[in-house]
Amino acid sequence: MDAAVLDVDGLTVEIDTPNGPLRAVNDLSLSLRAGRSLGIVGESGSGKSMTALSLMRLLPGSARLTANHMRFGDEDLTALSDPDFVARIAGQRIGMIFQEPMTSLNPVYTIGRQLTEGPVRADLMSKAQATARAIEMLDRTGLPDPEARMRQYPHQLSGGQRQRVMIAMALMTRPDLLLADEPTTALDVTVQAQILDLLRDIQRDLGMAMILITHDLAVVADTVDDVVVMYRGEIVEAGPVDAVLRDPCHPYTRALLRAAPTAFGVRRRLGAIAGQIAPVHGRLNACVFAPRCPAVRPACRSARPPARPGTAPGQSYACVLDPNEVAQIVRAESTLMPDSVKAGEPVIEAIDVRRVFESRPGLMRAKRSIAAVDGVSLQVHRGETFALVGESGSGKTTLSRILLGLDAPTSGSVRIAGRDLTDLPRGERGRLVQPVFQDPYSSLNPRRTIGSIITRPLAIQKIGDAASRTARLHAVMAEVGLPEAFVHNYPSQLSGGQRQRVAIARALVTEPRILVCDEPTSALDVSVQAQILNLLTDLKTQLGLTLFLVTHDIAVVHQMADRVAVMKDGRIVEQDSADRVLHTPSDPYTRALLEAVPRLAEERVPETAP
Amino acid sequence: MTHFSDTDIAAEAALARDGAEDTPPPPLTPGQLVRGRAAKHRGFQLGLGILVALIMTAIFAPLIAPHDPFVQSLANRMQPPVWSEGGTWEYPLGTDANGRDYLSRLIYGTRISLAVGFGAATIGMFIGVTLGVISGYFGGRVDQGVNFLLTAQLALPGLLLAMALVFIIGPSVWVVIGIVGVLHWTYYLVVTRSATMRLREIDFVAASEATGATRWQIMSHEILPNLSNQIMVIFTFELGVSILAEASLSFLGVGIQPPNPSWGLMIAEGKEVMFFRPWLVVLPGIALFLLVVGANLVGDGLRDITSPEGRN
Repeated sequence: MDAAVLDVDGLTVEIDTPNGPLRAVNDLSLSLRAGRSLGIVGESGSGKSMTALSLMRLLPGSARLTANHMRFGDEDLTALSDPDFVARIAGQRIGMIFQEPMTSLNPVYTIGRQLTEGPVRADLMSKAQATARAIEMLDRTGLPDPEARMRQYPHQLSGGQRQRVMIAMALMTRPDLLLADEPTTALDVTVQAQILDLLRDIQRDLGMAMILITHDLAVVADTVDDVVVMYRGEIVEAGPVDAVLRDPCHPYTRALLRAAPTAFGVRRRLGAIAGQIAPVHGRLNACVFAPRCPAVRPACRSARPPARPGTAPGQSYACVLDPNEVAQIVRAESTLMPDSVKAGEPVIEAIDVRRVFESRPGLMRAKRSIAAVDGVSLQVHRGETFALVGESGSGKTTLSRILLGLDAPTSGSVRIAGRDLTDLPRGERGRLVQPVFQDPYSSLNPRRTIGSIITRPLAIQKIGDAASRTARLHAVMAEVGLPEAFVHNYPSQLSGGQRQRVAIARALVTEPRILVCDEPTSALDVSVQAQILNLLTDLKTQLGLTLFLVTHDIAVVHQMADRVAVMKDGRIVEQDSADRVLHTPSDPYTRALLEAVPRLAEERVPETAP
Repeated sequence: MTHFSDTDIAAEAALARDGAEDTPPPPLTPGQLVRGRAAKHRGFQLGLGILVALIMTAIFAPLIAPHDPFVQSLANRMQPPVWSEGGTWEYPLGTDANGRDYLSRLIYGTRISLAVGFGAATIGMFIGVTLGVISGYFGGRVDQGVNFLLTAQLALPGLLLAMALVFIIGPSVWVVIGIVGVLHWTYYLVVTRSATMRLREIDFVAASEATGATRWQIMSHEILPNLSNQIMVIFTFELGVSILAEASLSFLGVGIQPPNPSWGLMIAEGKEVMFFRPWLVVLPGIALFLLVVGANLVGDGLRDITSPEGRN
């Protein structure tokens, strides 16, 4: 088991962009032995996916790959022609699982055909052998009644079941290496836990090597043996997963760990990493993390720090500082989160709200009705953060749209600040409740400048004149931490975190009393999520806002919420103070949800250095 | 820590230099990106060149044309172009059956073709985009009604209808522009309707709705600006289609009336003697071809240049 399945040295990937060549991966070396699993962790723009795609030769056409050597078993990947690679390696000796199970399967073919087609066409096995093996693999991935599944179409399966099919497909040819690129990011948390367990068990049982690519440190904690942490195309730290998560040596790894909210333990202010990831153009003769590093030295900006051994055996990191120096500077934030505020008067009151969607499957068929929200009653008090938790399809987004006036309940009533929502003129409603949406890429009009986007609510509600609107624009941009220079920029010129600040600024410009935040950080990287969550916390105390937070992420709930309601199938199954619900859940569904959360065990969170 | 403390001037300078290397170039604005892609797109540049040259010709026709396009000189009937035997530089492209200078008539014909093209494409744009945005945004019964209109329009033979309308109203340049425009809105409708249905579901529309914007404010301020690229592309295609429609009507005798110099009419007038005086048909044909190809190249180019925007 000692031979290296994969041995890559000096892998560099450059992509042509309008701004010049972008170095997505720079001088990356890694080696993986048979039967071992490796996690590649990084935020977006770290080059983790590009690394996986270059192993599978799936890089976009504008990308150029160079490497000193790339060996896979006894094959030299750099010398292999594309047809040979496709014929012998891709899909046969290297299997791959993608992020989106909903679009990875062809909707017009049966599961069985899609599983057997590849191996049969490559003459690896007969049709009968392939069918037998497909059934065996479906059974192995835990799908009940695999024979029946073979005749089904993708739309008949749920997201988690489709990801199991994808795993079975990757395993059909017994690959030596399995590449899993964010295999659970698109799945609900309870399904994510099952898929991660499955991947780990299969990898160990079949003795294959596995590379798991993810942005989530907690996902690798229980799944892989070793981990590499990537930042801006380079490996900043590598080693056994326990050592790296318990005793991180590199400032970035440390900072990333204290930026991630945890679902358990003491609530501290998150240690946000200032700034954002900037792409690397050309060759960078400096430490990749230097622009954002709290422990930066002049030497970091004039030379690439060499990799050096870390505290644990097998651990290595690229930094000029000793681990204890890093620990001194990059400490866990000691500020505790403010205690729950004294509950004020109720500002949102929902009484037995139902929202029924009707659809007619065919012209002559009977109407079908689905209650997305089924008799929900809740109260949100002034100044508190109320979290609505649920998985996809639980009705939480429908409920939040009703609160924003974007949808009307079929029955029941909603009162905002003591007034019935149906009686509120839309302008007045807009001055009471404002939204912050999940995806900052779609919540800003791409054809408008930042200044025009933020002041648009003032123009719609005819508040003030040009001068007072400009003054308000600058005030609110300062409040959310946006540089004034962005006024004339377009959303496409900003990063995800900056765009989310613009969305928050637009929501605050009319000085509303309630912010309805629908998954405000799910589309953001961990370090940027920390910035936004801290910003929301600060704004809440400064402006006396009430936050209505819709999320699936228990860690965000634990970090932010004073009170929690857990929603399932359109109903609220549990509603109480956050402390009570997270520590002593009474409903079985809440308990299942909490158990499924991938956790960095308490002792792994770096404590404040003495 | 001693090795870090010697931050002398050289180290400071190195730090400033490498720091500058590390700062990425500022991201480009959407306008800059479009200009950058336009600078690389040969087809777009060629089409734009043809279109601008023809527009200039139309505007400065009185200065360029060597003769009055309406003056007949029966002594000089059917003069061949300069490169054929018997041609003279007096009439570089020859004369027609009434002895009028063919080059001057072609130059003045540019005015009519472009006026009909731009006029009709604009009228069609107003009808098609209005209906498209309304039906895409409201959906439901409004959408069904607009769809019925669309189906009805597509079921009617366009040229026959146009001929009938011109026949009833009476031919003139303005009538031709109006009728060709009123009959060319379906492409605008189909594209803007589906784009609006997609945009309606995007969060920035919901955000605007939540701040109290009316439907009309959302349609004009949030949706319409995001359709501008598609509308521009369709406009250039409709430009070519309308010019051809005018030429067809004029060829059939129900479009531009003589003695006005329309290319379609010139082809019709020349067809009697096509086998003996082929240039009378070929030359206006080349002019039409150039204009329509130019418009389509610009349309194709615009689509390539602008489409990456708005996604992402």
